[in-house]
Amino acid sequence: MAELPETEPEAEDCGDTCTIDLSKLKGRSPEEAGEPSDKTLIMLTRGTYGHHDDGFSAIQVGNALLAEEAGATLLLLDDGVYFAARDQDPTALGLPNNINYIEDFLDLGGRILALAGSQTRRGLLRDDLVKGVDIITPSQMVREIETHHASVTF
Amino acid sequence: MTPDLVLDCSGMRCPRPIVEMAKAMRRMGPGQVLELLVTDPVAKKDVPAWCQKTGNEFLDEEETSGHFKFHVRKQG
Repeated sequence: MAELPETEPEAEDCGDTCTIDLSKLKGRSPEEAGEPSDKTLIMLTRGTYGHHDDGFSAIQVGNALLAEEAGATLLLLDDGVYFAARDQDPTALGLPNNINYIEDFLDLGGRILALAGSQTRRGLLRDDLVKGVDIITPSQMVREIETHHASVTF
Repeated sequence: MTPDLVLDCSGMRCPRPIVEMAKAMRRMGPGQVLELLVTDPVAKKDVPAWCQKTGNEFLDEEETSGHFKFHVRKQG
């Protein structure tokens, strides 16, 4: 059996193929999983605009949670990273710009996270994303999953 | 009643008015009154529910030809 590396993998090595052993997470006691919280993790895995409305729905759920003073974190994975593109402008599509909702989310204390591998595989640089988005590694993503009491996937 | 702040969310659909109200309330002081103007009838349920959830005081509501006016006092 090969030994596991002691250091965390580079984000670029994981990307969209990173898998999490959920059976281990499910089997853990509340104490092992960390302090309970009232935070919801909203995971967005699809692109936005056009025929996909998932991003719009995800941010609306997030803003509704934050408006009611519940915690919310938006985690962008796979094509979901496009949601936080800095210079997005869907005017030609006749759709509302999600930037306004993203700013609301951040103003209300929400956190937006983007998985590094998903970002880099799509050729997006840090500056291509909205200011305030935190780039995280797969290990950090696992810790985020552990510290949220519920998750919703779009 | 003379509100301390008037927030016009006419034309916005829920949850946007609630989000705007939450943002506005953060800028207000304890005891101050917000007047919220909306056209989305869903707000009739959402605004009182939001007040109950957040501890702010729901004062009253008026409806005139599809336009709704709510008064909410920020918790002290």
